[in-house]
Amino acid sequence: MTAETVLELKEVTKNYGDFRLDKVSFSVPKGTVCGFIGQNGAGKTTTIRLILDSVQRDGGTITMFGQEVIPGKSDSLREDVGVVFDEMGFHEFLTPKQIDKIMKHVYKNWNSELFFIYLTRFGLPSGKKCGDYSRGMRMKLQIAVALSHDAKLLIMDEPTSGLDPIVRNEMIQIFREFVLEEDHTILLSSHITTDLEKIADEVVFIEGGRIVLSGNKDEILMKHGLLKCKKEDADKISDSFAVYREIDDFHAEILVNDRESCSKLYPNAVIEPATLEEIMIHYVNRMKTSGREGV
Amino acid sequence: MKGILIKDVYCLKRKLFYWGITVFMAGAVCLMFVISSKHGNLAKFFAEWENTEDPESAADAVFMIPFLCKWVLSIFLLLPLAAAFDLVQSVFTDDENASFYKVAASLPVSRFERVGARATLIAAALSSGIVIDMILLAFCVPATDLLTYREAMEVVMAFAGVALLCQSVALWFGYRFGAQTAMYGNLLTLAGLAVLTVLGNLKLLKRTFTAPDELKSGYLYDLFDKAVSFLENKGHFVLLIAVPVFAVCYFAACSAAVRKRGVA
Repeated sequence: MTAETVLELKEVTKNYGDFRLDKVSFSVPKGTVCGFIGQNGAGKTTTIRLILDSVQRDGGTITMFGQEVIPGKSDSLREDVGVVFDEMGFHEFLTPKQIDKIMKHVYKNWNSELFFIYLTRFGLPSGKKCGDYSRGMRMKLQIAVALSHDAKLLIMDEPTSGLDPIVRNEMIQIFREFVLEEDHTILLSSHITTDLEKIADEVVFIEGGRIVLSGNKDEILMKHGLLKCKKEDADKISDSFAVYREIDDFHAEILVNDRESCSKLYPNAVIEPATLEEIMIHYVNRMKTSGREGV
Repeated sequence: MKGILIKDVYCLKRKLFYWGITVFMAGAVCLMFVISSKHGNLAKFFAEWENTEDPESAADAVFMIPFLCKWVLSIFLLLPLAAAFDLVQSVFTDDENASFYKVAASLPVSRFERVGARATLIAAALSSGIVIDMILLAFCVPATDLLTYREAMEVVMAFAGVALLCQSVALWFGYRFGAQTAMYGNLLTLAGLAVLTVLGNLKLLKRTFTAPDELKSGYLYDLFDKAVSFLENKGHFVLLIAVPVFAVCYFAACSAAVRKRGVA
């Protein structure tokens, strides 16, 4: 692990019987936003639970802030971690004022003043019960809690799912501000790839409990492309380039993993840039049809 | 742990009003009952029954009426304690409904502290229930001849012991098998206590149920008398047994929480 890595997973395994997280390995560099992409049930939440040590892992190692997360013995590491879930876990009858009093005794670095500044900024009435908040407000409350104890790492599990585009955009703006400080890092799990395209520096793509693709987002977007051709030309594209071929009655759409080399090799082919969503869909389809692991 | 306990206090706060009403009503009913039994309509009713010309009814009155009144009073006295344990259960249910386990798992709070907060809450409910019962008894006992302070406290301690046993097993069950199974922990404890009671009195039960009809009622009375005598004189033994069981269940719950994570 380099000194600049905040979080590193090495061959982390968890077996639930009907679902297996299989030797998951990836790292999150310091000061970056790492998008953790995958469809529902791919293993994102399980991975996050393993990072937080809220479920027992069957194998592998997890390192956070340069220290190994030892099962059941690394609770203090969470002092520097802010967590946002897809659903608010606070009791609906609690008010933010009461949450402040609770958190004051939970986090050593809890900053009440900052918490109330965030509440005002997010338009959250501090005396109102959480249960009366809208979904967007609940998510903002979680973010306010996560940002008020000087967290160095934000771990978010589908924070933008179910939110309208305006609120999603607001939240992305908040995340951007958070990572402006160079020692702040975000691991953002989502299946809404458009959000990640806006903010992520790194991307880790998980499918069926396995990491199929990981790396710098811009590099991934630059390397991948959608080659469009006639159905009969599809087989001419080398397997070493083709991630997945989607063929209908007349046309073929092939996701290629090296756009530049491919365009040199097939100068007449039209290769368009692929979005993260298209890349994700093609990798999932490839796994479904062949069961092969990605690059 | 302090933060988790403060959260529990906020959960309790919502229901303290109802608990206060329960305590107040139980106290008021107890006082009315003891005053009436000494100076009011109940006293008149007892006197009429004792002075009846039917000797069998008079004998019943002498033994049974004070006995029944004493137990009715005891049940009212136990209400605050029962309500205190119900409050604790409601905190656990609130946590479950809010999926607070997710938040708890993300906090820098160890599993020992999280289980410790629950155990503290159970101990606090037990203590507050016993203290309130002691206060109620301090008002009621001088006003009646139905029961002595010691007898009543023995009954209170026996009940507190049973409640603590149930809560202890439920605490362990909640962490070992999931929050939804805590109720089965309660039921299993009550069933276990019933089995132990039967096994401990097997000879007496056998004698009673195999006895000829003319002796049966006498034996039944003996059995009943033994149970009452135990509760009135040795009730504190139940609590003494419950305390180490509570400690064992706390450590078992901690161990289960470490092995099976993701529980609040």
